[in-house]
Amino acid sequence: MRQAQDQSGGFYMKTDWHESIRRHISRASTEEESDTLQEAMKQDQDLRHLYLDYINLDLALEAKADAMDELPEAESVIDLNHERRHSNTRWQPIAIAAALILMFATLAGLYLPSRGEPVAQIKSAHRTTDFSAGELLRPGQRFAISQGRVKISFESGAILAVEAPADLKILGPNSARLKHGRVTVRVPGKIKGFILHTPQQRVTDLGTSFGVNVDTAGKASISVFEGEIEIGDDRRLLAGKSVTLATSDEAPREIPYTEENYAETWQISFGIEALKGKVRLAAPSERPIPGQVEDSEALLLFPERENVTLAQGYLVDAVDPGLHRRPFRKSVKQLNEATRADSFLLQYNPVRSEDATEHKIFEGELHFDRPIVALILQKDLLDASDTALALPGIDFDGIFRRGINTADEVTLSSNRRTLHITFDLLNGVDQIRVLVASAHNQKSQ
Amino acid sequence: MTQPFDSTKHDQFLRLVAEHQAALHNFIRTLIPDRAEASEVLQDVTVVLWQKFDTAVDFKKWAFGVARMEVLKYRQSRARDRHVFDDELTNKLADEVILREPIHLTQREALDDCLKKLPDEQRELALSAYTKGTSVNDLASRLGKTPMALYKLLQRIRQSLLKCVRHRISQEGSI
Repeated sequence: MRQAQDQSGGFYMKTDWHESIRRHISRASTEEESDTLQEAMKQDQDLRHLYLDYINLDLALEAKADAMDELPEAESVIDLNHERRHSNTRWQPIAIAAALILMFATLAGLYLPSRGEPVAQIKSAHRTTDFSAGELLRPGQRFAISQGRVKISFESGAILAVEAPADLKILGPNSARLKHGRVTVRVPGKIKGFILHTPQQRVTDLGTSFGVNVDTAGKASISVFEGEIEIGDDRRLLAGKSVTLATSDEAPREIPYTEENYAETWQISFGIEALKGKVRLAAPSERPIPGQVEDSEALLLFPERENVTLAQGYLVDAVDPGLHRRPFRKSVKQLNEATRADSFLLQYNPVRSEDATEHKIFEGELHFDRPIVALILQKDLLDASDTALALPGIDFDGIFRRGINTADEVTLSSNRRTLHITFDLLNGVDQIRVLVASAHNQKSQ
Repeated sequence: MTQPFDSTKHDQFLRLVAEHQAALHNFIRTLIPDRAEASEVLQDVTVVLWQKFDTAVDFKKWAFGVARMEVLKYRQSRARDRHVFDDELTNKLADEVILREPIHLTQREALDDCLKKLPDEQRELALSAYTKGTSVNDLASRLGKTPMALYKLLQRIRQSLLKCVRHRISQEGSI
């Protein structure tokens, strides 16, 4: 990204596309200049991005200027006429100081066309009275939580899960500042560029998930779960690495990788409010390799693809609340309407043993912060849905026992947020898929 | 429209339009840079949205689709205007600006820090130039500069701001 920008910047400087674009935007270009620009833009994506970035800059500057125009005091700060607006000169420095404070307060909070628009929303609040689900958060808003866990969804699509006690501040639609506490940030899909400021350095997401803990002394530690992050301006850190930051001018110090400390925030970032009984959530390092993770003592829940659009008529085994068990016969269901869903794979994959006759009863419950929209319970539909719902690159070829068996029961609660499971398991792999209403962009649905 | 007035639907529509108006305006401005012309198209878009409003759809996605069609219609009426891109490029830009939205949000956030890095006069000048109703000619005469000199100065400021936001050079403030 940075490299591409540097290269394109150099290229544009030589051919002066900056000037061509500005002249076009301000309607000062000749017909020939406009034609040349148009043809070049059709061919060159970097040039289109430069144009789009210029328009975005114009819009952001306009929004700031508009907001300052609304503040009577602030006008005197940017008054180029140098007219005395205040007849009493003794008050002038105070008025300017007040205006400056107002101006910086406005600039700090202004990331959107109109001041104070919400940029984030609390999607779930668990065991806390400090906040409740649905609450909107605005730029500059402080967020101190004394108990429980909360999932915040930013306008950009980034998700921040925070565990009490914590103190953070919402900065904009794609950024926040963590003063202290423990968080997991996940930036699903193609979204990039979420910035989390710590007391020492800022952490920029480069398509990833990561955890940050700032202790009460202000010392930060960071673990990268998936993808890559940037610390400060130029230090990259890849998945499976952890560092601590002691002071802002000191280089990050590598420490042994840890993800266990983030189990709670990792779970809440997926909107899973609770897992009861013998069910556990796959850790970040287990998420991409369901076939290789063996656990004889628990059913494992693997978060798969998020925000997948399933067409109307998509085939599943169950959509309604109630008890679901074999035989399904002709009970295959179709989705009534196009649905955006987050997929989870629930799997039992025990450590291989010679004793293949042992029966085990596993009972557990999955509690989500949003409705379960469908269940996939049979091998043929699991196979058919792998392409759309499994994470890229996962191979289920070696797994021949998928779906549930005769003695297994799956019950969806009437509010659709809880799934109760009773699996009677022989030694072997069992899998089902749980499709939950997508957590992203619910605002616009 | 002869259908009976549905106040719930109306409320829902107003709420959705209020929620997405800024994003729609930005989308249209990308395709039609002129502020006044873009406002005109936004009004047309709002009328079409109300006429065809259906509560079941993903509003933002649908509204952007309608906006794109209205921009293309507007463009056809101005086909001889060299300052309007043709359908092919307009469509490309409409696709790409949606994909680039997260990057643009980050750039907008970086702008605060980038503005602070400018010398005071340049920052004030940039904001003055973008204040509604300000023309470069007026501003130039107020500052005792020629319009061309001011245009060049503004262009330098924009270029350095763009470079800055693209590299997300931002310093931390305090919580």
